[in-house]
Amino acid sequence: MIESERNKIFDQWLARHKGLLFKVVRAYAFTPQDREDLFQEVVLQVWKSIPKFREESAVSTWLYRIALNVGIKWTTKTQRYQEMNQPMPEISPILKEMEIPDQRLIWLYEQIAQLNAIDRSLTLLLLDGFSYKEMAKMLGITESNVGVKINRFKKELMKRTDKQL
Amino acid sequence: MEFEEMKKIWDTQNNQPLYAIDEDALHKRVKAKKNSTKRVTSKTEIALIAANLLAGSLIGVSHYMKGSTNLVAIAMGLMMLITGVYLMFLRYRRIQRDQQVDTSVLGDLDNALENINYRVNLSRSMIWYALLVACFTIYSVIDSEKSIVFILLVSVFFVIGIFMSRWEYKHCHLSKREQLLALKQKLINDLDFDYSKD
Repeated sequence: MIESERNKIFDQWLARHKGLLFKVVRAYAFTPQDREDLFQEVVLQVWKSIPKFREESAVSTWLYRIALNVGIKWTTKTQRYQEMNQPMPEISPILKEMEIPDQRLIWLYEQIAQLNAIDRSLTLLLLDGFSYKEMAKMLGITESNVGVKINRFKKELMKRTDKQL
Repeated sequence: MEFEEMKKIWDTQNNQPLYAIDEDALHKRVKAKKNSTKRVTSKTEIALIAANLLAGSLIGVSHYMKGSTNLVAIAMGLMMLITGVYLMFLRYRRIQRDQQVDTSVLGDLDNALENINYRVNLSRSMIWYALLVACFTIYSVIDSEKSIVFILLVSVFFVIGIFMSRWEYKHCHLSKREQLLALKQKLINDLDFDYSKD
């Protein structure tokens, strides 16, 4: 694949699906600095992945898969980083938070943040309307496992909603 | 709250992205990247120049003092001295180029990319150069009738050195270049950024 073709695809993907990437970034990284680093890492992986894309799935599915993989790895890496007690570098944030259209969205992200890395991925996919089959394929777990996990955290989420909202 | 309602809340962000880009902070970040690339490039150049001039001089002087007629060793010393001088010329040219950079975000980012490309090329050339030095050295060692163990040790030293250089080339220089390219792509395409702005 020639460079200009790759760049063109990259342009189109980012223009159409950046919102999707922001969702994953917001769900996996909790400080402005982390969000930027994660966003940059996701974008880099997306760019690297372009020649491997065979159009066997929708672009959004492909991007979700990449972003979630990076997000899950990121969680492990950040935990290790924090365990080592290394101070985070002081850099002013590039990503400026916009006004949230619905304040309940903040609550929803807070709830998602409390889930483990895999459940967090499943929640994002579920909220974005992916089927159990697609989720299972993306995350490398069985469909029944997806069902069990989703039922569990759906119930948990509903319970919390009733208590807090 | 029902799950369907949650989904509706979730979907509100589809039409309104959660983030925008702070252009000043972005410029600062790009500048920091540019300076860090420049610093590393400069250190790499100085190390290579010093190593070549020092090794070339040592080989030349020691063979001259011994009155040696080992042409291979003398040629290697000469080659190292010429390489050292050539690297000084490249460094001079790079510094000149760095001084002509325009101070916009795009200028800074392009300069960082130029420097990383320069480092990638330098690193790749140095791997081939190291192979050449390895051949010269091993030939000289064999010619001076040293023990097999010594010859093997020298060979292993070069193999490890070249292997490490290749690793550095792939994992440091190439990956850094990809990161910068991705950043540039992200800026151009995603953010509608006004590059001409200082």
